[in-house]
Amino acid sequence: MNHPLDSSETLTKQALQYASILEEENALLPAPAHMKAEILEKSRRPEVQLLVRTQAVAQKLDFFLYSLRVGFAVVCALFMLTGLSRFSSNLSYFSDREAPPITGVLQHKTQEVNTYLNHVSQSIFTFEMEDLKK
Amino acid sequence: MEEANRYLEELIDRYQNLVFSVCYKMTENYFDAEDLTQDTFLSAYKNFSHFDGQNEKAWLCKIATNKCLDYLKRAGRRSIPTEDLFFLSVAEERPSPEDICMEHEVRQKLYDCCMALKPPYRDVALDYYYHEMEIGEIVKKTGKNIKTLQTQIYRAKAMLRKLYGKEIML
Repeated sequence: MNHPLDSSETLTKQALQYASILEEENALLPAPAHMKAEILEKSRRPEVQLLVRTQAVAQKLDFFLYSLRVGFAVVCALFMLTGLSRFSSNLSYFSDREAPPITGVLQHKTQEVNTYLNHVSQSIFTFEMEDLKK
Repeated sequence: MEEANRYLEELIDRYQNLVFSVCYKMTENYFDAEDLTQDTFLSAYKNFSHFDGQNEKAWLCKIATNKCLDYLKRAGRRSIPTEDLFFLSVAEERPSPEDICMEHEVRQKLYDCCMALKPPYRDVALDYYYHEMEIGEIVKKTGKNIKTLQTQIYRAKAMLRKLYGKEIML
């Protein structure tokens, strides 16, 4: 079962509507004349001032921490962007540097194989020529 | 801080009657309504940092309603308002004629309660609460010591609050 106090949202709306109608009718109850002075006096009490100042500082601190987090995220993003691009360029640099020896060896070996094949074909050719002369 | 203090003054000037009317409607006690109205503005002042700055009237009404509900709950009042029973006149589109003429009725009840006090509290209560004179003015008028006067006002308020409660119970 709902407690009657759970309906504060509805009550607030009704209170607002009620007050607005009284306001339109110019029928609001005048508050006691000394009330404003008493509220202002209470608001100047040290414990109230301390609370208000603490909340203001807490809010500023929250904002500061939020901006720190955002700033850190931006710095991280920039770092990752520049770092990654450097890393990839380094990778390509290394791949460029390592390639010549491998290709060189391959070229050298291919040349050796070519020379050997030429030599073999040359020997076969001279053998054939000598055989024809005979 | 200066800005917050100025804003508080502005809010009081603009909405003190409205908040007081709501608190009076909910508590039906002039002095409880006064205290709850003060609490409402102080609470608003303490929570300025959480307020988005939109619809001050609704914000203050919400604080006032919650304060009144807490107060009624603490006081163990039998008739804790529900949306069905409270602000009934709102459901009828306009406040009842009694609500419109509430000021006269409230003033009369305040006067009766002040008159029910014994001297010296009767005169003090009449001057301070009914005629709404400043303490300085009462000091000039009566020649009383300011500290004595402040004590008498404080005691008179406690007596008036009880008398007002009894009036409602009747």
